[in-house]
Amino acid sequence: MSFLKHRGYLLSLVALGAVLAFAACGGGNEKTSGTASPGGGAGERIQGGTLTVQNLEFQSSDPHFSNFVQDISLERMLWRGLYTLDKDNKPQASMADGDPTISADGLTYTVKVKEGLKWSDGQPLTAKDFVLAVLRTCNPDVASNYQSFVTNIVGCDDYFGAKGTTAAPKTPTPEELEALKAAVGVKATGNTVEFKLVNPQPTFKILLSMWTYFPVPSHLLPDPGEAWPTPPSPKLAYNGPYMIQDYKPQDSAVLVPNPNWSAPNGIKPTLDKIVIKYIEKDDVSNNAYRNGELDVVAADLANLDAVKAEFGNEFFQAILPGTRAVEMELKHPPLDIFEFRLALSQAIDRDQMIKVCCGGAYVPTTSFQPAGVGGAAPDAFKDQIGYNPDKAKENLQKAREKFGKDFPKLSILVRDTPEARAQAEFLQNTWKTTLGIDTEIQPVDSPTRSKSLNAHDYELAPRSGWIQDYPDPEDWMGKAAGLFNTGGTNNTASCSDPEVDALIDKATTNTNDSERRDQYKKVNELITTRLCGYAPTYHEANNNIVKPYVVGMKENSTAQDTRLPGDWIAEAWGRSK
Amino acid sequence: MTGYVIRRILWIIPVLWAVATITFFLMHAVPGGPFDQEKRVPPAVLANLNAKYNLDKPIYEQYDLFFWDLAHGDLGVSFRSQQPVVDLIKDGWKTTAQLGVATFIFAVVFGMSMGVISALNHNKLPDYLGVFFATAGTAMPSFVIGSFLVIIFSVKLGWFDVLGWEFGNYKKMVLPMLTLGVLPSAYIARITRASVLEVLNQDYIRTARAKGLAEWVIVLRHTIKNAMVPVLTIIGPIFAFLVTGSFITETIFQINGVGRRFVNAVSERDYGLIMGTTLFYAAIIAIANLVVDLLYATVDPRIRYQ
Repeated sequence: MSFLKHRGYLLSLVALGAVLAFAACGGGNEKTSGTASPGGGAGERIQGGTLTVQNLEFQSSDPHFSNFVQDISLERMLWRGLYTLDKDNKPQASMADGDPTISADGLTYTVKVKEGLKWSDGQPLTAKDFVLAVLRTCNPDVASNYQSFVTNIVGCDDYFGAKGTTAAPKTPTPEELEALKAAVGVKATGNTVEFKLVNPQPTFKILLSMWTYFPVPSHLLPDPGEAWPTPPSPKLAYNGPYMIQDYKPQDSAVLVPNPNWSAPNGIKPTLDKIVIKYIEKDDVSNNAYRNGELDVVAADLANLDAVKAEFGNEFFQAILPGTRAVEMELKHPPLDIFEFRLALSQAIDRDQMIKVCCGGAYVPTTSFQPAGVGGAAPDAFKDQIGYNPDKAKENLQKAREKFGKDFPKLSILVRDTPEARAQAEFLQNTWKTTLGIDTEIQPVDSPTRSKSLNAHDYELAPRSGWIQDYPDPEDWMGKAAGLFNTGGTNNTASCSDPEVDALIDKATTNTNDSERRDQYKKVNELITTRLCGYAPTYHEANNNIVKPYVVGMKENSTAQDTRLPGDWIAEAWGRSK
Repeated sequence: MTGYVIRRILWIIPVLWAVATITFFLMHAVPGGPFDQEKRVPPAVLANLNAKYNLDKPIYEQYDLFFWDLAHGDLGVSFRSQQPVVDLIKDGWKTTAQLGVATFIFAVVFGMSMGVISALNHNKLPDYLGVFFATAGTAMPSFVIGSFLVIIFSVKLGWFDVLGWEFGNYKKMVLPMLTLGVLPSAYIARITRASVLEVLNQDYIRTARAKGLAEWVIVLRHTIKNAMVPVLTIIGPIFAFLVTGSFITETIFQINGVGRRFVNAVSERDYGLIMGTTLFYAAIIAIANLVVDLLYATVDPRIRYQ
C-alpha cells in the first residue's frame, strides 16, 4: 500500500501479471505458467559470470522495518518467506512444506516448515525463525513501516501500540511489554508455525510471502527487539538465493550465491556474482552502459525517444501495477463541484501528455485500479472522464453556474523534478487553453509536498496515486489502502462518498471471494467516474536497457518486478555465451 | 606562537557550537520531516518512529540530547539507513579526501605553473592562452565540463571509466580530478599571474637583475616565493572546498563521497546525518583556515603571531 514517489516510496513487490496485458510492449507476451523459468534469452546460458546492474541504494536492509522499493529489491535476493508469489501472483510454498492448514472459522493458519533447511552460515532454519519475524514486526522498538501486514495477527496491534501515540504516550514496564509480546498470536510447535488472526483474511497467504515475514536468524538475533545488523555483511545469515559478499555505501553491493539455498522453485543461481551499483542519475548510468561498465540500467526518461532509437531491442519496458493521477483536494472550492473536476479531467489529453512529458514511458489510463488486479481497462471510463474538450467546456459552464462567480487561480503542487514539472506545465497549459482556467505551479521538494498532501493543504497535485504492495483489490480500494473510505489513512483528497463507504465496509468483511472482488470493482468504478479525489492519468512502468547477453531477466519480468526486470526471482538471472 | 595556536583551536569550539545550533533549528524549521511521505505513516507507526529517534520530545530537549551525545563523541544514527553517522562520514570522507587532495595537488601545480608562465610571457601567446584558460575555467560550471569529458573521453574514446573513484587507477581518477580541478586551478592561475606580475615590477627584482643574477634564480628564489602570499590566501579555502566534497562531481561520476551524502541527507530530512555532516564541514573549514594562517608566517617572515 504505498503512494508513488520518484525515488523512494515503496513500490509493490507483487502484482498481477495480467497488468501486462495492456502494456504497449507487453502485447506479445504470452500468458505464462505460474512457474518461473531460468530463461534462455538470446543465447545459451553459461555457468558463471558477473552481472553488473544499476539500482538505487537501499535505505534499510531490515526486512521488518523497510519502506522503500529498493530495499525490497535487495531483500528478496537475500531472504525468502514461507510462501512466494509465482509468475501468476499465486502464493506457492517456498520455505513452507505445502499449503497452510486453515481452521474452519478462518482464524488459525498452521504452516509446516520444510525439514532440513539451513541458513547460509550452515545453522538450521526452523519455525522459530519465522515466529521471530512476526514478533520483530510487531515490536514497537523496531517501528516497522509495514506493521499493517501483521496487524490482523492477534495481539500485534496492542504490542505495537504499547508506547502510545505522540499525543498520548505510554510508558509500559518491561514486564508489561513482555506480556504483550507473549500475547501475540504466533507460536512455533516443533517445526510448525501457528498464526492466530483477529478476523478471517482471504489474503493472509499472500501476505505470508511479503518481506515482513522473512525469517530472522534467531541464532544471531535471539531478541526480536534487537537492532538489525547494519550495514549488511557476510556476518549475517541469509536464506535466499544470494548472500552479501561486500557492501560499499553509496557505491555498490556484491552478492554471491548462497550455498545453502534450498531452491524450492528448482532454480539455482548460475552467476558467480551480482554487482549492484548504486546510481541515482539515469543519464550517468546510461553513459556507463554505453561504456560497457553496466549490463542493466534504468533508461534515461529525459531522453527516452533517443534511448529507444539508440538501443533498439535492448530497451525493455515493464508495466507496473501502479497508477498516477491528478489528485484534487475536494474541500477546496471549486474542486468540491463534480462538474468542475470533470471539466479538468476531460481537458487532459492523456496520450499527448505522456508523449510530451515522458517520452511515452507510461500507459495512459482512465481507470484508477488496473484491470489485472480486478479494476478496469485503461479505456474503460474514457467516455465518462476521458479527453473531450467540448464536453469539458460544457461541464465547466455548469460548474460556473453552480459556483456563481469567477473561478480562482488554483495551485498545482508538484515535486521539483524535471519530469514532474513537465507534467505540471502541460496541465497548466492545457487547462488554460481549453478551459481558460488559471493555475500556478508550486514546485517543492518531496517531504514538503508530502506534508502538504497529508495536511490537505493543496488544491491540485499531479503524479499522485498508488502502487500496490500485494495483488489483491483490497490493497487498492480497501481499508488497508485507506485511499477512498471516509477518514482513511491515506485519504488525502478528502473523498467521502456514502455509497463507496458502504461497499468498502461490505467487502472488508465478505469472505466470499468472488463477491468481494465484485464489490471492490464497483468501488473503482464509482470513485473513478465520480472523480472522488483523483483523475487517473497513466499506469506506471519500469523502462530499462538490458545487454543482449543477459538471460533470465526479460523472460521472467512480471508486474512483481520492483526495479529491475525479473528481480522478484533474481536467482534466474544469468549470462549467455 | 603556541599561545596563538591554542587560542585559535579553542575558538573553533564556539564556532562549531554556533554552526550546530543554527543548523539544528533551521533544520527543524524547514517544512516536512524525515517521515513525511506520500504514503502517510499510520499514527501508531509514526509514534514508534518518533520515539525511536527522540522526535517525540520537545525541541529544546532534543537539542540538549544532541549536545549531550556529541559531548560523548556520538553523532547518532542516520534516520534512513540506521547506520552510525560517524561511520557514514568516515566512509564517505575517505573517498572525498582522496579525490580532494589529488585534485588539490593537480590544481596547485597546474594553476601556479600556468600563472607563472603567463606572467613571465606577459602579452605573448602563452599569456593569452593562460588568460583564456583562467577565464573559461572560472566561467564553465563543473557539470558542463564533467558531462563533456565523459561523452568525449569515456563514451566516444573509451579511455576512462564513467563510474566511481579508485585511488591508483588512472581510468577512474583522471576525469573526476579534471572536473573538480578546473575551477580552482583557473582561479589559482589568475591570482598567481597577477601576483607574479606585481612582484616582477618591484625594485628588488630590478636590483637582482642589475646584480647580474641568473633569470632562473630571480624567478624561483625572489619572484615566486614573494608572490605566494596572495596565492596562499585562496589556497586554504580551496583546500577546504576540495576535501569536503563536491556534490556535482560526486554525482556526475557517482563517487561515494561525503558531498553526495550531505545533499541527499538534506533532501531526505535525515536529521542525524545533516547535523553530522554540517559539523564535519565546519570543523574542516575552521582547521583549513587555521593552517593557512600559520603558513603565512612560513612564507613571509615579516608576519608574526601574538
